[in-house]
Amino acid sequence: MENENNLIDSLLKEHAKNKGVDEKFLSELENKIDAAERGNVIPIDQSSGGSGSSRRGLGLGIGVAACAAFYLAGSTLWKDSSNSEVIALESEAADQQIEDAKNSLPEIQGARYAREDEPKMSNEIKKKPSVLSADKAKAIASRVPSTRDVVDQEMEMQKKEGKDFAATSKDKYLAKEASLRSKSVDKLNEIKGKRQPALLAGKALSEASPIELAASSGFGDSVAEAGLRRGLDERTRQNGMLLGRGRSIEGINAEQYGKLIENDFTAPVDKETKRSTFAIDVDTASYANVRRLITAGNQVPADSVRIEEMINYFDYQYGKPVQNSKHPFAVHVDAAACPWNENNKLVRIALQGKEIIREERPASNVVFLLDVSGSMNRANKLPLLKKSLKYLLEEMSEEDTISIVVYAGASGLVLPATKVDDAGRVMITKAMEKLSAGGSTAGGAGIKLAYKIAQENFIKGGVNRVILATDGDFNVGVSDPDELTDLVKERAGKGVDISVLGFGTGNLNDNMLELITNNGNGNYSYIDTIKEGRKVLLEDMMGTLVTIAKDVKIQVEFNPEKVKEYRLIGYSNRMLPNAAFLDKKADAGEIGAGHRVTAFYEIVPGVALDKSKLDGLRYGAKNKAEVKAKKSTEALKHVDELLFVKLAYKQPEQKVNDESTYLSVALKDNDKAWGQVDDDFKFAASVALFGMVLRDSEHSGDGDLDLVKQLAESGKGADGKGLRTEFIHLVNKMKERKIEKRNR
Amino acid sequence: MMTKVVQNQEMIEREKFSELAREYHGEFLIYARSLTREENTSKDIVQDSFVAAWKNKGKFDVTRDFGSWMRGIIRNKWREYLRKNKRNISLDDEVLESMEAEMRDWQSMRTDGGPSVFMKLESCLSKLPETLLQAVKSFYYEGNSTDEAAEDLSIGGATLRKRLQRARVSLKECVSGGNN
Repeated sequence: MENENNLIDSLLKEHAKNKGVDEKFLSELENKIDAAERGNVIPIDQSSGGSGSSRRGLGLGIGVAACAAFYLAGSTLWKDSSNSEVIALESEAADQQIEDAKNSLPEIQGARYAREDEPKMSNEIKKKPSVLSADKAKAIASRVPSTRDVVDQEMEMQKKEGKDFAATSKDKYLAKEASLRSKSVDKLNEIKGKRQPALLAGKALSEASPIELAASSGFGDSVAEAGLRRGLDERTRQNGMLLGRGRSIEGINAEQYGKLIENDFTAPVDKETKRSTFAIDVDTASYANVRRLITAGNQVPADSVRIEEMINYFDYQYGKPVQNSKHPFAVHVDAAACPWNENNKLVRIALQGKEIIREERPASNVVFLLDVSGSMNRANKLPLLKKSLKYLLEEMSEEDTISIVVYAGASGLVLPATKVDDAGRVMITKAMEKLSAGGSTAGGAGIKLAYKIAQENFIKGGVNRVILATDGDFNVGVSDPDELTDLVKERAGKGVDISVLGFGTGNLNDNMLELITNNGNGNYSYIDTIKEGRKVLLEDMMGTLVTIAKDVKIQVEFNPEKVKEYRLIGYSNRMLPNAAFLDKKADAGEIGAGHRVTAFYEIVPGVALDKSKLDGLRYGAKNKAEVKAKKSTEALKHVDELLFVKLAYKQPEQKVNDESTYLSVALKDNDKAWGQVDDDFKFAASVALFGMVLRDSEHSGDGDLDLVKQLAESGKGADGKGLRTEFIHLVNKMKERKIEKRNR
Repeated sequence: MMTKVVQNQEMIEREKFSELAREYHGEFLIYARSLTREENTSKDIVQDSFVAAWKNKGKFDVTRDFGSWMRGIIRNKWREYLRKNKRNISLDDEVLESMEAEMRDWQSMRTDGGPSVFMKLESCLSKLPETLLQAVKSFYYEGNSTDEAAEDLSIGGATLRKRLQRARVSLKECVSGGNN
């Protein structure tokens, strides 16, 4: 690690960018302070911005009030919090819950490719409180809404405890465990904030080898557990920010943190690593944004390249769900030789959402929340937004209502809920024509108002959606971003979803916009041209408006007899802990009508099991004979499979506490050559590789722009909309740029 | 924005605060970027921290150092951000402490009437050996990816990374190391 030089790295970047004075930053800061001074009350009246001095008079009082909530910060604060006690989180009830869930879902939950290295399920573990395992994390995860947080914390806790454990005797450990056990899980919320530094304590453990730990503890179980913990820890690192919902950590410093960005190859050697879990993502914004960057001749920051969003931008002809299917989408899984690494296989998991025909679209209550701040005053922003919205208007009928809320210096209702009949259409068009950009942004009040209007016009069983259109300069001003995402999440829980249409200046607050939609059953599209506006608001409108399934999670279980290593391409910030798959409260991705989702795994074929690694483990060599005898016939039956794909989802109207529906598909191992795959497979692989090349991925193997182009051309197919042709142009443009650079 | 119709106390304070922001924001942005490794998040966090500081200016003890007070706020904002975003990232005490020490060094450069860290950096850059300077220029100042920069300089990627690392080590020494 090169931690010490981080500051220099940042210093160089800052210097290169602004030479020390960032005027834009300063002017935004002034606006933020102004906004903070005005407080949370923003009048619903465009004209009442007020003069600087009067606002400040008001602001002072609010500022004082805010002091109460402010915690005094100082240079010693982080030290204090690092001393906080680590409290164990345990719950019998939670154990029981997960047990119930498992019993009801044998096929989904059951370890398909049973191995001797797996601890048996929790019955045994429950009797032995000393054993810490991933099952416990799972148990707790299912008990508390904020799964990720908890699982992460649990992992930290395990590390901490593991350290204590290594240093103390079994008896002492058991005593501690017993006393901690009595504390309620609810305690969790209290200590959330203090948890972070606990990781430090675990550091020693994660670096020590399991064998060393065993030697010092003299207690066999700890070895297996330490090994497991280590596996988890390793995996956390590999997955980057395990659950990072934003993308902020990615990419900026590819040199030092490149490994954190992408999912790395993982060997399916134990219970945790054998499974890979992620939330689906139907967003397409990243591709449109990358296209804009390349077309404009700009650099493409690795950060801006979200491979899954690039792949999912394109249309693929996946088989639709059969008529009257129980499930709202069809799942297709296939594999072939990997085009950029001939020794590997490329597995495609494809979801096709059911289509909803126009006549069957549920009545819609749509509230536009439009950014009319000064920065929107460019041809590719507000005017483009207005034109694009007309497409949507064409599709709406008298069953539907449209409301318009704007935000800038003040926020206000421009158009109350208006039926989209002939008279309404005129009113809506007029209201849109009148919009003009000006003033600074204060999205916080605007979004609250938009939700209020949506709630007032709520259509039961219909589509209730806020559509936020902004250039990404979504200055929340009055409330902090977290408050905003909480709001969005809460409203999604009440049935009002959100979609975000990004305009103009690219990456500016891409992260924030993505965060909003990730939290609010939404989708995020980026509109840079009228053509794109048409695609999002006309062609894909049904998918944008109508959700057919939510909290869609995919878990893939790899057969360690066939898979030596695997790697999920893209989705790096959509990774979930394995435990979240069965957790009905775990929030995940939504899929809209007719939407498609594609995910690729690259697989190194072979046998994953490194016997030497298992020797010291609980279910390692020692017990092998015994376990072999018991090895279930079930596992043998699946021996020719490469992997097993499981999906969890909820119906759009289901609540947080409702159980998910599950389905699964197995993939038999095959030796399909690359030439045998269909055009869609070829093209999607080309897009994936393009993303990897743009990200400067170390996993692109023999893949370069030439191969990207070759794959894209071979998979171009009919390309009715010209999107694939456009993609090939982009690739060419990148190639030219590369050549230019070389010649310079 | 800054109409000076009513020159009351509040306005004067606000202007002073703006000056402070102008003076310090570069360093804070660097500091936040080192914590978050992400530009937009850093920007938000530093802005929010300034807002929090402004709101709580009554609590600031003038005998204390504004820089370290603000960095405390920035750290808390970052923790808050991590927590709210369910991120599992540890803030390593040792790293934080060494960063804090370095930041204080930078700051002292200015309060002693010396050059700000940016000027210091410029003078340090001019002292870098040519090969290292080229690497820094291509990667940091021309916005190339490491691969592009390597191609630019006709060297291997690993070599480039190594050079960048050596450049940073040397710059760190120079920037923090007094007048050499």
